[in-house]
Amino acid sequence: MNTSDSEEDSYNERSALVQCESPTIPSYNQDHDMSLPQETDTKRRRPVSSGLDEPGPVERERASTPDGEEEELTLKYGAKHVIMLFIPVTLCMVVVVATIKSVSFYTEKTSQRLIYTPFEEDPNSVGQRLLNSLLNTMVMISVIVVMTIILVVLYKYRCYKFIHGWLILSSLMLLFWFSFMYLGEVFKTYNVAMDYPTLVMIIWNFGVVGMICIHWKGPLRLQQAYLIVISALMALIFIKYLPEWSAWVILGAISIYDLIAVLCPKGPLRMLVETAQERNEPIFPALIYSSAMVWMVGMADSSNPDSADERQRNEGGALAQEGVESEDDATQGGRRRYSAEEDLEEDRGVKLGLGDFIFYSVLVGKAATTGGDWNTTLACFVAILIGLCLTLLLLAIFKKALPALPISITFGLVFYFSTDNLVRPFMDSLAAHQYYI
Amino acid sequence: MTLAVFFGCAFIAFGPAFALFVFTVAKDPLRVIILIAGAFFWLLSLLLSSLVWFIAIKASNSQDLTLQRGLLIFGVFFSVLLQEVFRFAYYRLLRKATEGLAAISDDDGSAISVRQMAYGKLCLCSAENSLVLLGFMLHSGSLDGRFDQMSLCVSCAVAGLGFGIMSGAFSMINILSDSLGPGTVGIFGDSQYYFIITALMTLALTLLHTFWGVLFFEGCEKSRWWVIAAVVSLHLLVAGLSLLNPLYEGSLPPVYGITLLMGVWAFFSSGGSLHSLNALCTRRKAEGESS
Repeated sequence: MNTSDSEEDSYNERSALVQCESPTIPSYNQDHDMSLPQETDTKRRRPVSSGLDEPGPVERERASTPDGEEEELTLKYGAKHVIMLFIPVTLCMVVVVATIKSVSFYTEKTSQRLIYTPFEEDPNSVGQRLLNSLLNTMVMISVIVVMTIILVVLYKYRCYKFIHGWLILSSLMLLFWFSFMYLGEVFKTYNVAMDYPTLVMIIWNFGVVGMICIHWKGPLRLQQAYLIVISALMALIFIKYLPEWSAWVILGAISIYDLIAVLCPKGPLRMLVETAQERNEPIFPALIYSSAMVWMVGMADSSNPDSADERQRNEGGALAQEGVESEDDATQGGRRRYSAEEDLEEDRGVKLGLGDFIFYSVLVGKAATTGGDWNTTLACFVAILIGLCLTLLLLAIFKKALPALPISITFGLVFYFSTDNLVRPFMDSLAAHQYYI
Repeated sequence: MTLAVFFGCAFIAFGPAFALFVFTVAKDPLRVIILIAGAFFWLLSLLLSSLVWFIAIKASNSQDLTLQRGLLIFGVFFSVLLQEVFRFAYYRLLRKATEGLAAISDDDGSAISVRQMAYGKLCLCSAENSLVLLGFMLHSGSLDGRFDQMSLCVSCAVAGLGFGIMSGAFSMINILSDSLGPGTVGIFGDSQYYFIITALMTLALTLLHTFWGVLFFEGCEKSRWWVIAAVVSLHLLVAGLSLLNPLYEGSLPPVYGITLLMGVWAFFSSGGSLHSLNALCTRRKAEGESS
């Protein structure tokens, strides 16, 4: 199946959660600087923040100062935020692994390939296979680099509508076409008879609600659920259509690319972030998972209705300028609310790009594909979670945008290969004799 | 039949661990992280011991069955020792993180400015500072935010549980998925009780790891090396008993006896007493009467 270009972006962004207090801190997001409709959650969540960033780990004290002039950043972010990311990552992986283990469609190898991996892997010759997988990786990474550069260029020249349209097209494809395919395969597996009218209604509702939740407004939990589902769908597509060895090499190469793109001074992601900083605009893509807790409940009580209305009006608003102004009003309400409820949950969560969800799930899904061994899957799962934990720790130390892929993917790859080749025979022999260690 | 065996064995093996998780670990994010890190450390120990075993296997004659069996037994004992080494390493990590936190919190209370730490310390990249920050990060999410003796004790129980869950999962999950069928147990003359014995052993080992975690950390804290030696030798004993395995009478009851013993020891070692048990029962009875 030839997939269109529009879904490239959905895995183009990488994450990084950052301490976002000062407007100068880069929040990291690659593709979409959709400052517009996606702003909804950010604005709703953090009306007091400066217009720029994504919530990163928390500062409650900062929440009360309108201009973010806090000097001392109290680190209140901790285990809670790690868990707020563990849960969605785990859910996405569980969905992918459950699908792989039950629906055989995603593990059947076909001769169809993505246009991004044009070289066929010949199972007979090891050298040829390795060479082809390296070439596939190079093609894929270069496609991603080109897309990112195009995005940065578009952003620099303020072609927001184009980016917006691109993004909507890609989420349309994910929400309608891929979920239709997925549902079809699940029905085939469980031999469920389904008629087209019912199916059309289900898919239509699912897709439309998804588009609304992701691109406009919706309950936070629903939006999170949709983001998890589309990441899982995308990961399943990769698992199906990437050739065996190419998939592993691509995983490794993507984490190196992520590292370079986010940390090097001339990296595209860094440039994107710096451009956004210069313009004092929020970069807010639709494809970022945010785990912030909703604090609207408190807001309704103590804030004045005007600021609430104004904020809502601005949620669909066009300019970042307006956004900043409305935040000033909202900060009054915010401060009142904050003083009223000292021990309310933090209103900032952490954000993780969907690309990270996708690649973590690809790794665990591919581990689940190999044979009937669950130990490998479990080992990769634990490795990825620990990598995420370490990344968040580094985030607390360095306090700037960081790539979330390298550490987790490295641990995941190491554990995959070592568990598959070393631990599996050992545990199998132990189980055969019923020895316990 | 297969689904019944699957669910039965799954609940036997993982029920208590799951209950412990839900009632003690799940509500505190800090403890969840300690649990997963414990699982990670166990996994590392398993990886290294499998590496050693694999090298030994590859270097030896694969046709000689007694040699292979001998190497497997060597692998078992080596793995047990390595697990204890990693348990110690994890203890050191937890201790260092929480010590660093306690050292800083003395001056400022629980709210610490990261910038203060950053500018005050020499180099933020040093491992020690990372550990301090790790400790702070972990503990700032915990319920009371302060480090004290009780939280270290709970951390050690949670760490032990992490070891136990991972150990149980690795022993049991493949077998559980096989028990969904199709197949016949013991068709070649092996014991028919394979699944249930596996489930029971897994349960025992999970609980043992939890108790050993508590005892080990207590022993290290109070520098009672004989406690540590006892834990290590009991682990070796349990692994050795499992070597008797097709003879289930020889392995299962002693292992459960040891589990009970460890449970009682861990209870008293972590500060419990007959009095507190009594208070618990009478309070529950009093509450029951009053309601």
